[in-house]
Amino acid sequence: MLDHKIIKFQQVSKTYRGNITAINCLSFDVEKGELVFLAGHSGAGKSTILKLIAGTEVANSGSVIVNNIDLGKISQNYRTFIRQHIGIVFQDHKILFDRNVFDNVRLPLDIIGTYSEKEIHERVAKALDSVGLEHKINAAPEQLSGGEQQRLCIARAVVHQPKILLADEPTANLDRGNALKILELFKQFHQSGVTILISAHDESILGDYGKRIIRLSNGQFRG
Amino acid sequence: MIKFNHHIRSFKQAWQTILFHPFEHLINIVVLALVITICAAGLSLNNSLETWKQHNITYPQIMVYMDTRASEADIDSVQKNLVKIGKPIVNDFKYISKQQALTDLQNDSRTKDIASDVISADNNPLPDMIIINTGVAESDALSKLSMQLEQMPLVEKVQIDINYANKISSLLGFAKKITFSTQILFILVLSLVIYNMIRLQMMLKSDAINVSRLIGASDSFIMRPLIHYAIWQVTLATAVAGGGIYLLTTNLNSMFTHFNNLFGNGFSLQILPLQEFIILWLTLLVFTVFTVFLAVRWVFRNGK
Repeated sequence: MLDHKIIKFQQVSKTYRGNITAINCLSFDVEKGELVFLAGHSGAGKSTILKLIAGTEVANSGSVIVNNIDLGKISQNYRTFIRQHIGIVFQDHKILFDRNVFDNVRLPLDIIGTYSEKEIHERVAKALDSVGLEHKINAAPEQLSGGEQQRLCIARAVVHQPKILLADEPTANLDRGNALKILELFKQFHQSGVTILISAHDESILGDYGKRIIRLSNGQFRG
Repeated sequence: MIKFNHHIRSFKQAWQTILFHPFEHLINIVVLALVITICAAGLSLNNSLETWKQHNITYPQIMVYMDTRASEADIDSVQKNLVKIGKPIVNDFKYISKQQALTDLQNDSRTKDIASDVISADNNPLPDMIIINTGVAESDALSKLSMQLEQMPLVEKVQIDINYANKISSLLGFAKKITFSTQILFILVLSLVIYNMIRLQMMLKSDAINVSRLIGASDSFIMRPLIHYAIWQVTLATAVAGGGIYLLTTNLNSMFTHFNNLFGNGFSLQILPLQEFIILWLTLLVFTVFTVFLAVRWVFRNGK
């Protein structure tokens, strides 16, 4: 039988140094092509869930299974390799200001290393086009507005066409208008078959987009 | 193919980094070149001392006195054995027959009276002898050879000045140790300079490194541009050091020529042969790669 679940959390707990429990015995699945929102206040455990899926953190107990691979049972190097095939949008953008828009977006392709210069140019142009930044390809990041910087971050996350896209508070620092534009972008990626997990502390902005919302409070499900 | 692509990009990045901030990197290159110059000067000095030593240091001689009953066959046997067991201690040896010794004695103005009064061709008490010129100063090797010679049939006595050998040996050993220690010290200094250079580069690029790691860059992806950067810095510094050594040697040799004319002891600095210079460069590159590896590991471990 085909397993349509691309992410599985099985009794997962994560405690940080100083005995701070981020998530406590959580279990849930995400199906291929699903759009899932993680909602909750700051410290509810949303970012920890995304970090566990990305493999930048490892669960203290339970299993985090991504694409049928238990991330707790593989080496750090392999987790890093798996991360090459996931798109990540950071809350604080993590844009590199020592290079222009084009060089920021090409970074994941450079890391994967299998693309020719021609392919890189085509893919970067396509990714920038999908977020409406094609005209800013040679601009310096500091010339972009907050919303544009977030779109640049999204272009970098999707340039290698990942199967899974993780976005940590992508609308947190944006006004409502820009936030809705960003959510519209994620909706478009979702329609092209990408599995997307988005964390958001402001549930009101989700509106019609929130088909499935996992509500969290103090590392556990709420409501 | 993936690795090749990564290396091409790292190569470009390294040169971009160097060319976009030439002044900053010139300082690095000059510091590295100074250290490499001292390393190379040590090697050059070592070579020059070796050559000077061959021409100016007299190694101990071994005198083998044969029994007066020894026949030509016995002497031949000792000489054949000497050829067999003498390498690499023996440079050459010379057989002096008792008749030759007598003739030399009679021809020497200081001893000819004694020779004519006491000794004659019919009554020659002088022994046949073999004079061995050695090419080493290690007293253990010389003692072993002299013992082997003593045990040969009809060898009456073997004479060697072990004290002189010891003095020469310790003097040469001291010079070698000083040169070797200086080179090790400067290779360590070089490693520390490279280590610090890489640490600073990583601090300057910490944002790019952190983001790259978050989106799936392996340690080798992070390390590769730094290795290229360090390799090219060391290569440029080695080229500068090569030029520096050439100028230094040429200038110092003109000074030595002046002193040689005064004291006549024929010392000159040799320019490091290209082959040895390439070996030095490759050795430095190995140290460089190892140092970059250690620096990156250290920064990753400490999160700085």
